[in-house]
Amino acid sequence: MKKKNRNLPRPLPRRGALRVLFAVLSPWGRVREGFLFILTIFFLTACVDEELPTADTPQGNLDALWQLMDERYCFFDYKKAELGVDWDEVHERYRKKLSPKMNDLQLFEICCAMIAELKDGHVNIGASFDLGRNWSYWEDEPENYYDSIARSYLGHDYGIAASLKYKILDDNIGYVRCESFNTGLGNGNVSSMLSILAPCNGLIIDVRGNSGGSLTNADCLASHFTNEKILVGYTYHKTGKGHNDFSPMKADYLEPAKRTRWQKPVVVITNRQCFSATNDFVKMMHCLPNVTLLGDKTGGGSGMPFMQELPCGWSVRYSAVVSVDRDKKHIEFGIDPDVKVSMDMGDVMKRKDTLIEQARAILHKAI
Amino acid sequence: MAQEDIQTKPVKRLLVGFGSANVMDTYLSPYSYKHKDIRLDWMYEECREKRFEGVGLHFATMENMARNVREYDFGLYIHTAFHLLHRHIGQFDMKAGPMGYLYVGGLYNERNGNNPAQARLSLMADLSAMVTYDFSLWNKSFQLEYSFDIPLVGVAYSPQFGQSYYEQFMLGDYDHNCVFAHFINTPSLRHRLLLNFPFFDKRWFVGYNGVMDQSKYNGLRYHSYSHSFLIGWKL
Repeated sequence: MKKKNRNLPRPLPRRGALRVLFAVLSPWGRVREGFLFILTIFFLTACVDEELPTADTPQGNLDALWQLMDERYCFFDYKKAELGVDWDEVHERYRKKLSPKMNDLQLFEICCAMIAELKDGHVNIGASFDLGRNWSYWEDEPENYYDSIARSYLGHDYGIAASLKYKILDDNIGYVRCESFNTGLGNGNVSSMLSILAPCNGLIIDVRGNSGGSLTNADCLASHFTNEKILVGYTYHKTGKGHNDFSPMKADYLEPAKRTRWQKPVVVITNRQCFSATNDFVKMMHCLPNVTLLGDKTGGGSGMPFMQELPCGWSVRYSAVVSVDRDKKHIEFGIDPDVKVSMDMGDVMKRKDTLIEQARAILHKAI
Repeated sequence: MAQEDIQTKPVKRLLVGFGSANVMDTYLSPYSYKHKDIRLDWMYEECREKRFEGVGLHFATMENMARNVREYDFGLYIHTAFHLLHRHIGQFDMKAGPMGYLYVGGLYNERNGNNPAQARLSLMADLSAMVTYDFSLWNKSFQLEYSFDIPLVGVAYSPQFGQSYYEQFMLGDYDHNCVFAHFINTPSLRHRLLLNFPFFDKRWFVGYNGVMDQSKYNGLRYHSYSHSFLIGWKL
């Protein structure tokens, strides 16, 4: 068989424009072929576009919500085991409730009911007129906190270090009220506060009603209660669309703060409203030897939330990154206290906070 | 300016552009942001016989399809092309060769909480080509220039599908965040058509700039399509 000589010049087309083009390209035979190969691959793989339903209709939005959660929510297996949630069955059930002519409020109600099946405070739908949520983890439970009574312990002459309010109580116990981890908290703030509280025999950290904020702030506060680097839990995230597509667990360590560190007994007071970053703070404090958790089980919320959206523009928040405790157990539904204490109505009548009083008693015993 | 100058002397030029943008990054949203959009470009370039260098900035802002959230896309890029293959036929001048392309940028979504932004960093080896056509009209010299580049291979930064920036930068958890990028998972094309013409003792440029940047790695999909009108002048 006759071999084709690739170096032979090809005859030029007669027409003007093509003739010029071939004249330019023909001496570059291999370059041209390589280029054409790349262009072919390029067009074969081109167009990286949307994969979720784009129709702004009741069905388009519900399907987009379901698929978005199906691909990205990180607790499906856990919720199936704990709550029996079958996400495919949920889809079928709620699709039947749709009607093409339903208005936004009706669609919102159905979408919210669908995500409420997951019983996750980090799963929300945000519309301009409402926030879809399931807060039953604390709304159905006793609050164990009366703001006016707790404030009476601080009085008027309390200190403020960023988001922390603090006071030395009459029995030489330090009381720190941490209402939120949303506000910036620095090592300087915590160190200065602990230096002032240093003469105290023990410390109460009251995080009741603290629904979370920044994990960095929670880390910062907890780091002042350990002298060594300790394992506090593990973190992992979704790596794909499958319910079990997860990265390997990565160990999380609590590093000691470089400045003032507390060495005496500590009681952390919790209630069901302790959620998200506060749940994480409690998880870290629970690993420390001189810390007692007192009050009610925390609210949980161990999944770091991400946001996406639906075709109609509503935001969708969902848990994307999983945080578990040092025993690799889920804390999505909360952390049990070491000492379970509920508010006593008799104490309330006397304007006493049962949980703070119990915490004081534990600290006095520990001294 | 003599016609020979266009072909042989290095041309330093400044270009500015404005146009439309269409950006999607599934780390931030599953949908394209392409409404109420505007893109601004600024580029400084030096065209030599065998080298084509440039630095540029771009900024774009656009809304989602419901028009209730805005995203901001911005970036800086530096590129150097070595036009090792060169052919001159009549009024056509064709160059081609490898190009190094460094891109640093980001995309910010004004609504998202723990995933409000996406950082972009890539260093790619591209295929670059440029064809120029010189012609005269009304006794003045003009030049039409078409150029394109296609990323072939390189490295790029990307978070994992559901990985937070908190894990990466506060906990130091690495999870394939430096990815091997190539023309199959980064099928992109940037091309441009420019007319170079004299006006009031100065050489000017007008034309079209099209960018089709795409990627799909770590389970995340991204595209940035833009069409811009360019105007510039020789320095």
